[in-house]
Amino acid sequence: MNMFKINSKGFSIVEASVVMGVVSIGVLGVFSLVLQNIQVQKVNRNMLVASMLAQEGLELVRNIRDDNWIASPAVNWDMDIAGWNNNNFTIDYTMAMADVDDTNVAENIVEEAGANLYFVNGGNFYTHSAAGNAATSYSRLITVDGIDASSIADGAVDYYKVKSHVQWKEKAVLKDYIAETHLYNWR
Amino acid sequence: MLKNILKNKLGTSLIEIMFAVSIFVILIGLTLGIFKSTIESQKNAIAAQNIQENLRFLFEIISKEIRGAKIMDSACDGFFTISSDKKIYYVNGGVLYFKNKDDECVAYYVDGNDDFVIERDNGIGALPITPNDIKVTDLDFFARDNDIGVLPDAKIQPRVTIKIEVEANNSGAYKQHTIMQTTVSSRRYE
Repeated sequence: MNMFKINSKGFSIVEASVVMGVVSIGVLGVFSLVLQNIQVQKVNRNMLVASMLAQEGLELVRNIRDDNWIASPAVNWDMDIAGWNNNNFTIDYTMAMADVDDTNVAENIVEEAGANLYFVNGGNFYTHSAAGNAATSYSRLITVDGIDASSIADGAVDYYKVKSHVQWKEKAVLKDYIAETHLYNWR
Repeated sequence: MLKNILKNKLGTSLIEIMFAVSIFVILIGLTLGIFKSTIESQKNAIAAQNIQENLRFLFEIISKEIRGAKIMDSACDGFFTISSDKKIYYVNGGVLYFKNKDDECVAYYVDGNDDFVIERDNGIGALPITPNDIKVTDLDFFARDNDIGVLPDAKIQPRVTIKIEVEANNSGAYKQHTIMQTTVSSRRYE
């Protein structure tokens, strides 16, 4: 009980700074957690947009096959798709298909000018046509791969593996969203 | 112990109090600043999450109904005074009309008089399918379909492109402006 009287020393500066250090590390931890939360939300948002764009790519190729099915006079079910077999191309809501220069498409789609998506000025749909339009951060590339699934290979394509690859840059880091579907000649 | 403290007649000087108070104020100020920005960014994150959830739901139900749409065969001509005829999808001024799998004529549009929510009208009544706290600043449809009239020889498979621009309504500066687009191809082959 005499402690208060006897001990007349305060905290030393070393003790005080250790306490401050511990407290600020704790606060910084919480703060960085919140910051990270925001980052993740942003990535999620872009991921959601990209997933819809990837799905659009698949639906557009599917639409080509479906068009062939109901066309009259009848045409091959894979008309317009067969020509792109084992190749990369772009397609947008206007249905204009285009080739891209194949130099760095394997992993770096955003560097392919033809694969970038744009907004028509005045705020319309995502499109590949660059003329006078505002660039978005997304790029999309479609790859079709014809597969001969017959037990005895007959050289004829039984289905197409269609891959829709959307890529964008998130603070200089490349992000990808890849969707894939198989298109057969039966409904 | 109490006695000892009470016996001590020395107070604290003004300088000492000022010094202590200013250190306290600085520390509290710093903490409050961090606290405030944490709350603000939490608001931002909630706005983003809200928008993402609602957009996912929206695209899910709209695309599902669009996929199953049928050829209208003029059945919807009295509906919103549109002339539909052989079309599956009909787009006019940001409104998408079609006949769904249950032969119901439906329309999707943004209601500018009601907090910019997307509404689905089936002729009996319009019901909102997005909540009030997200504002749909733009809803665009592009339909590629056969012409009005008898089905031409060279039929095409119809499809619809949907583009939606949204922002958060009630989170101050954090709008979380998001532009989403997808295309849906009809699953009806006729």
